[in-house]
Amino acid sequence: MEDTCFDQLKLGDERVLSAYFNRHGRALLLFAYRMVADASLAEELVQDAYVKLWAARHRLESDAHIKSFLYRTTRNACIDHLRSTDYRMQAVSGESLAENSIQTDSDLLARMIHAETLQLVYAEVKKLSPTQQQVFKLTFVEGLTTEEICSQLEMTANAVFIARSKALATLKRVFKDTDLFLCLTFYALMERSADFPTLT
Amino acid sequence: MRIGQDIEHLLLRRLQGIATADENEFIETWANESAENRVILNRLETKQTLREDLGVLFDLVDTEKGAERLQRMELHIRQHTQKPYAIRTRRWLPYVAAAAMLTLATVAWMLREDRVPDRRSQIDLAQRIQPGGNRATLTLADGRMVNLSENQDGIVIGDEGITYLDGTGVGLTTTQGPTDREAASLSVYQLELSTPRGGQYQITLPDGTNVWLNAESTLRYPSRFSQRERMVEIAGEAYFEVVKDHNRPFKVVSRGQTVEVLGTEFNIAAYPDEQNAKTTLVKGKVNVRLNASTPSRDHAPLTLLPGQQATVGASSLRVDKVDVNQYVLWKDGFFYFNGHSPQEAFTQLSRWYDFELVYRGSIPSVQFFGKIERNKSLGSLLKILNKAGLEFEVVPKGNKIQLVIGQQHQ
Repeated sequence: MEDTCFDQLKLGDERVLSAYFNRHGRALLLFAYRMVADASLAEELVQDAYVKLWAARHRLESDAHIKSFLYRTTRNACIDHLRSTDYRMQAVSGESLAENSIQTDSDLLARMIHAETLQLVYAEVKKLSPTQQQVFKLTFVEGLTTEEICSQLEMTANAVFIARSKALATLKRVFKDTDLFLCLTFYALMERSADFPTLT
Repeated sequence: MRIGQDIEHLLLRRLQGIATADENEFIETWANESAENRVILNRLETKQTLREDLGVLFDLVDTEKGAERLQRMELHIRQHTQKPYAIRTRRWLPYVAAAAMLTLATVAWMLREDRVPDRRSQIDLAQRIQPGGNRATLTLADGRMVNLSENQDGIVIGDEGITYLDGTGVGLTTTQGPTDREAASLSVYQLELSTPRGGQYQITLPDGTNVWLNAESTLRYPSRFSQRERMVEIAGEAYFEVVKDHNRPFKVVSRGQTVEVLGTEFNIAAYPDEQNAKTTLVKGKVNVRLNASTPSRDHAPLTLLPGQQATVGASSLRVDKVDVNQYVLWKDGFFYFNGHSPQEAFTQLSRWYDFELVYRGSIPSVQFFGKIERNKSLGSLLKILNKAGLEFEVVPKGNKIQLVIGQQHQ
């Protein structure tokens, strides 16, 4: 599959870009957002990186090369942006932000791995059913209480309990039971659900 | 560790609690390589930061806004990487200007009995070329391609999956792999329906809107529309019968333009290898807006009324009153020519009968009139054209043919 995509890219089939977008696009958005703290800007910089990837396809040698190209291009665009805003900031504060902003290769690689890992976790969560995903998001990501979840989902507390234990059962399947991730989820859920102490 | 596996897959396994001792050791080695790596490992393993980062990711890509964002980005990428207009240069393009000057000399090309040409064997050859039919391929989010049945007219995209118009399944267990059907209906995926040359197919979208796809066309659509808008993309030709929904405008994006409607019927012909995109309105009202990548983008949106057609080119834009039938009868199984130029007519024919078109010398300056059924074989069609005095040659090419238009000895 990976090889076919790469070959298609080399052959000049622009449709294959959407496969690469599916593979790294979400992670890149997160990566860019963590640098510029602006979703619309992150969107713009990431899509530009794909357009540049297309223009540079002839000198790319592998899928790994494509991945690092996308991250490097996005990172550089983020830094350019930070610098240009930094000049304005500097005029006011007399200090430079760009000095401490991330520029080393090892930092780039670490951030890339971080974003890619989170996209993999995201993909695991997307394997849950819609209700399970929603409960997961509301409890783990947004940290809502049972009452808040009930009102958001228009469910009774019992239904939330059922949906939640189902979500946990599936998470257990997806994330096995001894895992750290599930523990985290459990803690997050337990904290918010003192009214359901039997939840395991 | 498995050779060649990315460190992020190992990290996922670690978060899932299923990393082996070797894998954990590898992760430790990796974390020791740089201070930055250690920071990342801690960030992933600390509840607070993991929650924070996942929260940002879900916010960016898993909300309604997020799904729109991803769709918008993919569209932007496609629009900025597609090959430019008319990449397949037509060898007759230089002649178009000359042909235009000859318009005064144009003869309305009616059936004439006074020629008895020697083309019998060639027409017999073309007799074997059958017309197009119901052919299309459905491409799923995971890249799987499904060839749709030729015995069916169309498919329906429903909450429960994809079926043919008569209710039988298309032979997919789920829309996107071994996950819940529920999950499939929650997540939004881009799907693609494509017809080859000589193919046509109908599709009913999740909102009930019907789309007829002509030959050599591709429709991209989401598995579920967002609550604010219904956006699809077309390359090629399609007839739209849009279900009215005042809260969610229906948008059709093609190269150079976006057509926005609430509920109406219209035809769009926007083939990548043609200069212009033509939008023909049958019923209701539509707005045609130029896309940001079009040079004349600052032009105000056009509003079309029934019977009007917008022609959007790389650097031109105009509205004409037209005979709507010319542009929409294909969906009912007819070629309908009303003063068409040979280029327009033959391009339509070549897409439907899947033959290669070559012009020799100047293009005949004639006009096409008539209504011809699309289910005739190419041979019977050429018989009519032959009688009408058109000079052409049929050249076999594999199991297809090449139609050479123009005089033989020049």
